[in-house]
Amino acid sequence: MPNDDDTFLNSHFAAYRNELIADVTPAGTDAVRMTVRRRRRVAVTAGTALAIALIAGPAAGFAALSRGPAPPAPGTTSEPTISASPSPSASPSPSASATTPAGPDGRITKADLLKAKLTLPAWQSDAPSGCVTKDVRLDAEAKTGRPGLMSLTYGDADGDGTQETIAILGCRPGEAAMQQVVVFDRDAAGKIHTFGQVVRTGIGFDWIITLKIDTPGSIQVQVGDIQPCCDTPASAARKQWRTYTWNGDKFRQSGGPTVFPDKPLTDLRVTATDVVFGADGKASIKVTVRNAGPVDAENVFLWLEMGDSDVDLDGAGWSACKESNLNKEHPPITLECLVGPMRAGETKTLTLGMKKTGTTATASGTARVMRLNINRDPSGDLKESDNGDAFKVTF
Amino acid sequence: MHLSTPPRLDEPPPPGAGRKSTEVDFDAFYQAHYRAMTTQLCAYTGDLGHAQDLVQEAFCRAFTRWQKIVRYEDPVAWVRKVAWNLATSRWRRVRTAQRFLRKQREEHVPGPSPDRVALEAALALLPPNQRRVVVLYHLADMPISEISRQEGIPEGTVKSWLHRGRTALAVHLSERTEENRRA
Repeated sequence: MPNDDDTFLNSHFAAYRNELIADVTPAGTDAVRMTVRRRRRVAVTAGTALAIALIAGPAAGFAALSRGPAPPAPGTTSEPTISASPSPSASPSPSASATTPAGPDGRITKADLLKAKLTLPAWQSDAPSGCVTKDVRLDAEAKTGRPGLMSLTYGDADGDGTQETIAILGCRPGEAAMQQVVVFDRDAAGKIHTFGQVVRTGIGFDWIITLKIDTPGSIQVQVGDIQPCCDTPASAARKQWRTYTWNGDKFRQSGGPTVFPDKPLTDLRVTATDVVFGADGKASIKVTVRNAGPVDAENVFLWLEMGDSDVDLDGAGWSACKESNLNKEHPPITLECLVGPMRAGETKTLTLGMKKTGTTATASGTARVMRLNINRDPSGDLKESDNGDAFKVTF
Repeated sequence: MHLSTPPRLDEPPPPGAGRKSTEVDFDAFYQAHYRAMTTQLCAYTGDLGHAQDLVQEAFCRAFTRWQKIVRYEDPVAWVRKVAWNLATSRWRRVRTAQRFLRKQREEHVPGPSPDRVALEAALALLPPNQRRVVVLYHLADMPISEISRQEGIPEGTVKSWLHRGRTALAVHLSERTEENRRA
């Protein structure tokens, strides 16, 4: 034990700060603007006069803010922007075709695209730091947590009569890839540049399947609501064709459905008994989880919030869970159980054991349930008030 | 002669310094404070990705009312308070559950140093109240009076939590260091 706690602690915190500062990756102010814009769009879609009235005020402020000296660089905002307007002079040869070698038409070979140093449009907002956008050399495949090329198509993306290169890019931090469709072109000097983002995942769907251009200036993209991965088969995804066109400034959706209809909600309920630890330092809790319907839940996640209590999972009861876990990374300490799918009307009763691991105790806890979709993302609930149940803890 | 303290790497001077506060640019404000705030929240939650989420969310909320916040005497205090509040809100709980369930699908970057792990582990052993004031004091460099204001608790309570937190932290850290040496 050091004599001088102050120096001792200060040096630890200083080292901590120095190390961590370098690892922090700000998502950036463009991501802030994007999030705020998306929320405002959602509010507008909700359609109440109140929502519109509320957002009209701040919007003026944002307009002022975005008039900063440095306009957002291409590919760093959620709204597709371009680094240069498509200029007719970029294509001096009106008969530009695939046979034109390295001319200024926008057909870029895979090899050339992989060699180029690119500025990419933004990935979806929760993309990890490896999914970079500045000074990017694409990987030949999207197999890692770095930007990679998934497919390449040629066509007249913007309706200017010349060909551009349309790529599906991916960045795969885990099993599933974050994706975007990006149009690349050459400038008058023949240099490859990012023309604009057509669409990306994370805005109501998670999978970009394929694309085609049947009509000049009109890109059709097939999207799926969830991305097949791990134990999620491709057949579980709902698919749609959506059309995007260039409006002289950015690509906008001009046809096809704009949303995947919400899957109907169900009503999960949970009740839990009080917890009394015995002399052996062990206790159990009986938790009843019910899917009151009207539809099946793909996955039910149950967790017990234990405050600061020093506890851990104990006993065989947890084997009823598909996965279980003690989470003490963030307070409150939680004991977690992935219950698995539950049909409408189904009730499950679990008897879950716990044991003391120390002397700190909180006198109450809460059992909570949440429905997760097939990708394990939280879904809503018809009635949230019965998704939690408090219990007493006698330590 | 007038001497001024040079700015720390992670805490540049307030972006408004030298000009009117209404001219403070959101981008500069974000750049100036995001990293330091994330460091504090990471020490509190023990999870860098999670801390980044919390701070990003706080800045999003600041952005929607920026014209107002920028006129506050201390806009940083507002964002910091929101970030810390988020750390204990329902929003946080949902995100925590979500992150837990997603983590099996993530790949992780090279791990932190043993010292960083040791400090986070030692902090995690403190009760949340003590952990908050210790982090605010040592990483946010906030004086007792300011911590008292942010947390809405009397200064005496801050002092008491800080004293207990620091004592316990020193013990935990010493034990950890000993263990590391033996290992």
